[in-house]
Amino acid sequence: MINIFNLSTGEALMLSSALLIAVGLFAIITRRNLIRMIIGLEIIATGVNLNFIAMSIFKHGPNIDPTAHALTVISIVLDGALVGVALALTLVVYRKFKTLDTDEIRKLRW
Amino acid sequence: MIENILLIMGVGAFVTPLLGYLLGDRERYLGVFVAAVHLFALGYIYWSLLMRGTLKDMFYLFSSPVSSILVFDPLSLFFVTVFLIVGFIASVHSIGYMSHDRNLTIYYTLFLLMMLGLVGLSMAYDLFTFFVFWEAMAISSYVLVAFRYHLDEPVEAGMKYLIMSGVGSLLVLYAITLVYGFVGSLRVDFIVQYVMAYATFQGIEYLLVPAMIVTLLLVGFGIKAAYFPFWTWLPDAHPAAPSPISALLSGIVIKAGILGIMRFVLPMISNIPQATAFGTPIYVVAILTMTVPNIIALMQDDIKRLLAYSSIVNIGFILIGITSYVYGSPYYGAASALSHVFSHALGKGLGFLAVGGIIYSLETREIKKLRGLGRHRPLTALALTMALLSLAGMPPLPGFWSKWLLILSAIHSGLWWLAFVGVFNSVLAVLYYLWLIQRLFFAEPTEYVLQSREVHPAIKVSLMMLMGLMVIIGLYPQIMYQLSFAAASVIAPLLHT
Amino acid sequence: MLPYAPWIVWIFPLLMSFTHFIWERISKRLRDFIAVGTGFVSAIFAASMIPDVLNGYTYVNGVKYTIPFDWVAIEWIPTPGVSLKVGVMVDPLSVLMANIVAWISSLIFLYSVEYLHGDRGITRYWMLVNFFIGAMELLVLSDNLLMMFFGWEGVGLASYALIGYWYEDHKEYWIDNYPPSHCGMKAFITTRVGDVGLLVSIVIIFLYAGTFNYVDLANNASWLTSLAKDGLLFLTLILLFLGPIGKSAQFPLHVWLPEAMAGPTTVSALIHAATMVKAGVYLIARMDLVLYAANMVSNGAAYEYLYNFFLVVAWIGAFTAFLAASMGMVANQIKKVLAYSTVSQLGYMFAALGAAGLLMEHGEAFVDAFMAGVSHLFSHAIFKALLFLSAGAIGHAIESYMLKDMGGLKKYMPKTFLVMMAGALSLSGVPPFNGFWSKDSILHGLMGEGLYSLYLILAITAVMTVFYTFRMMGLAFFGGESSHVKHLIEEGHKPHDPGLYMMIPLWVLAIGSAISGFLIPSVANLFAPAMEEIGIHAEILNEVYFFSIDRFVISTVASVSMPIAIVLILAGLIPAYYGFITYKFDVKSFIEGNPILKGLWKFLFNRWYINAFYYKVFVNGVLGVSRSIFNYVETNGGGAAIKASYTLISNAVRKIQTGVLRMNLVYIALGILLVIYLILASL
Repeated sequence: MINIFNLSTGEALMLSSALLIAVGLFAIITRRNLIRMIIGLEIIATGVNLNFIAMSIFKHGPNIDPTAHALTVISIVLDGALVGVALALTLVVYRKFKTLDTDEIRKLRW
Repeated sequence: MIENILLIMGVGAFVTPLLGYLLGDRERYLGVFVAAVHLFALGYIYWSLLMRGTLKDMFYLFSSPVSSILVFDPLSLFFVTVFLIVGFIASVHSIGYMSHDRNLTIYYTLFLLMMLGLVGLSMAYDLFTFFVFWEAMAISSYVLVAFRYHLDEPVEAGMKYLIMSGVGSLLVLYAITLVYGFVGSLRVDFIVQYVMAYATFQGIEYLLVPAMIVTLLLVGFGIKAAYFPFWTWLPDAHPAAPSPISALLSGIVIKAGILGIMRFVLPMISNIPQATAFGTPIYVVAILTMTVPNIIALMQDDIKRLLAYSSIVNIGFILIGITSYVYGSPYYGAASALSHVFSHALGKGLGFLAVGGIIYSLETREIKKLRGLGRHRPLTALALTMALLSLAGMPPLPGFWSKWLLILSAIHSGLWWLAFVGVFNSVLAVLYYLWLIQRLFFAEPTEYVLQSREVHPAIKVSLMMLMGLMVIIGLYPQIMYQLSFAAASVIAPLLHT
Repeated sequence: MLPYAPWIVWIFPLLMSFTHFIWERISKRLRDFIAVGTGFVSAIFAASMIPDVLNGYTYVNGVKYTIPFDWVAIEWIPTPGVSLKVGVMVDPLSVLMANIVAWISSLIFLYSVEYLHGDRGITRYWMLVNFFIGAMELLVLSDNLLMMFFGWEGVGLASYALIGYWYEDHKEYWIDNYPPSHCGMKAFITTRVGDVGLLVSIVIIFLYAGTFNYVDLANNASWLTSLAKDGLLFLTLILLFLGPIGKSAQFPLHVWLPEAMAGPTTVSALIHAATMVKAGVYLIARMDLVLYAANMVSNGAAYEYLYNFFLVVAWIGAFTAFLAASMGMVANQIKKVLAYSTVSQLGYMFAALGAAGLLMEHGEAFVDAFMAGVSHLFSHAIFKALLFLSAGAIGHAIESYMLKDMGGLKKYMPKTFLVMMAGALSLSGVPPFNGFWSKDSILHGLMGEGLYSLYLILAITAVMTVFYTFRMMGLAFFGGESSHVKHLIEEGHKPHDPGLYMMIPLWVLAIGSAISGFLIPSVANLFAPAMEEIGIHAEILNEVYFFSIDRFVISTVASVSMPIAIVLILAGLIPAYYGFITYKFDVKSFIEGNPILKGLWKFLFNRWYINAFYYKVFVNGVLGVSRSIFNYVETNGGGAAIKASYTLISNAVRKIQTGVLRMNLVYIALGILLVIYLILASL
């Protein structure tokens, strides 16, 4: 069993990123508001990006591998694009449906 | 040389807005340029391959300064060919179909960006390059689905598609971080080497990490490929998009998930001695993916939704091939899955484009309003019929040849149940296809049909080109088989070597 | 061989058949010219294969191949375990058939230019006939059962469309009570019964042998022995024989052929002489060779079953010959007489080929009987085309095919009479016309090998053949003019000989009937290399009189069967002469006055009531069953239940597509758990 009080930096970061992802997934499943869901998505993204850093530390110790950081930066950029589109879409959704409650927006089914 | 194809697509994507600005009010003719870019890219590939000589043992690696690695092997060739053919025909179709929309510069730019993403995906040799192109494709497709944002349906569908597909992409990225952490590299060949070394430990506890990675990749790719139980976004998003985009989404974008599985997951799991354990979820998912949407589709009265459900069913068929890859006949399994990718891309592309023609002239998607279409719009009705017959697996059409190979490969690897379920679902699908055909041709025309307007010539041209292609491949399936068998030979020999 | 001849022979007509609508736009003459030219091009390519077959080898791209030369070009469908290949076969049987088909049908095409001049659907006609011969050439030239089956079905499809060519069903084209479209349908459905059996047996053979290829089937007899071991051999072969029974109109599926004349006469000539009905004979001849070789390879392990099979073939052939000839004696239309005679002559061929199979263990006798069957096919193709085309000339002149509307036409159509007489003499087997040589060698062979019961039936049939042939000739050309002819003359439409386009094919075929009997040894020589190939060696072949012309003529003329043949001819000719040519004997009142003969006449005229029986049982039965299914199962009972049940299931299942975004995300979460559970559970 892992001793949570005696973790290396890499392990701690890994664990916390896993927690972040779990929190994000939980948020995205339980929240009905579209903005909150997007925030949940962002939490997952943060967790995943953190995991990159964690892995680089876990693998290489103090000698940090720059690849992971480069990849993280790229993925944050991609994430920004995703959020941009998501928020734009949210605006349109609000204009169309006058609500952001995703349980209400269910014209498409079956 | 061949990597320049990305440059061609990229330059096209950057020139499109400029050209749109120059064209001003006549921006609908941008479609001609986009189609030309596709045709040029396709011609460029085959021309440079001819310059280089043989197709066999083709393996060109290109590395770039940012540790991104591209490859051009038969698998890439297969997917690039499929993508560009369907993309070319969809862009020709767009000239007619989108001629009354606004913001076409944005439409065509996103169209090319999505195609750039797809072409990049098929050439990516490391997971992160794959991910970058994946996102390029995905983000463009979200916007394209919601392109007609003045309507309710596209907005709602785009929103759902974005959230679900976003989660999927992030799961893939999470898997990538884990691979990076445990393998230290993201290149396919290094991952395979690592897994092979790892497999010598044999202990079950050592397999937890691979199990987690494979799960995340299967789920992440699965959300894009839309198999059970991740397909819930597809019946919303595909019908909501403009018809050429539906053709692209159903024809090739969901195949990107299959490409991910073929390129990364299959070489990974086939080198683990317990490969069949990793095959179990694919087996179960294949059966459920074939059966459940098929039953739902029986009662559809929206023709695009019907085709969307049939796409999910066909993903299930493709999974038959992937399952038989894992269960002992890698070569035929992969080849059959790939040839079904090919035939379904053509068949479903033609189906959605034909429906595009119908929507253009009738402005309705309800099946009951399409009665008797065959007498008044014979070309579109014929195209739709041909698409449906190919999907149903009528012998002289591509759909038959690929399904035939799928069932045979399932039997070859001893998966009698899977073969049986496949045949059963083929028959079940024929039920609603034939029902649709019957109403297209053997019913009195409705007043909607009688008042329909003439189809745009660009739509006619695109339908005829695709029909011609289907007839050629139907009569001479060797074209399809050669491409897919060559592609299969890339990933097949990795099993237990 | 011209380059790629075995491919071009069938691909060219098939492709050209889809282009006629283009030529029609340019010029009607061009279209006719191209359609006829297609036939002749195909024929020339077919003829170019003859020297190769005679020499027994061929060169392709500088590589020497021996005959039978199996030219496998394309790997067709890659499948795990087996591979299907597309190939053509250049061997004596296929080349002979290909030439008969191509040349006879080219002559028929030339004839149709004048015959169908001015008809509305002529583009459709050209498309269909070119497709017809393309499919037939595919059938005979393919090297495997599967491609053969494709051609087989193509022939069936084209024949359906051609028999129902006058689909508007004008009253003048009706055959008795049936409109042309009905006749086409009848032909299609009846032959389909046989095709199902053929397809099933092809699949069974494939499952056992793992190949469709004739050469592989002949050289590897393991399929034969394992089928015999499982007790399926006889059944499989009988199923295979169902195909030829349907296609070549043998009992009990002979009922479609008399109605098949509903189309234009040229189509009847094509169907009866060159294509369609010869397909069945070809298949049995092909199976004769394949089974002979396989039987040799397996040292007669399955001979018992093969013997039983060929007994069935021979007896069905002989019985059909008798049955059809008896119907032909009372038929009231000239084309119907000819149709029955085709069925009857095909019966002869099946009897001969079946007898060849019976004599499989004796090499020389096998060759004798086989060659007799094949040479009768050859001569029948020529004289039957001639007879049908002459009948077409008569119909063209007097606009009727009823025998009662003819009479005394000799005066008005002397050239037609002359050429038709050549055909009639050939059909009745009068020396030196070609029918004599081939029919006599069948009878001679059967008697020589001691198959007396078959011989007896076929000899009686020969008498009947002479009788109905001369009855037909007499009713058409002799005696006084009928009221119809008189009426035509009064109206100013005096019956006259046809024009040049129709006369050229008639003269060619008439001369062919007269002299081609002496070509039979050459035809036989074509087969010598193939016989060597399947294990019949030169010393055996030297015993067979077929292979040199002097021995062929001398041994036929000098044998005991020659006087018998003359007796048989006279036995048929004398009553026909007095009854129908000189009219010295009043047949009508003779039959009317004798109740037994009258009953017999009625029995024969109603075609032994077989046709009526089929209509009653199958047509009405099927319609009745389908009507009751429609009423009780589809609309009210079962169909509604099925529909309700799948509506119910579908409506229940589609509820999972809630449309609520959060539920979809829950599915994703559950999906992750499912996948990881399945992996871990099965590790």
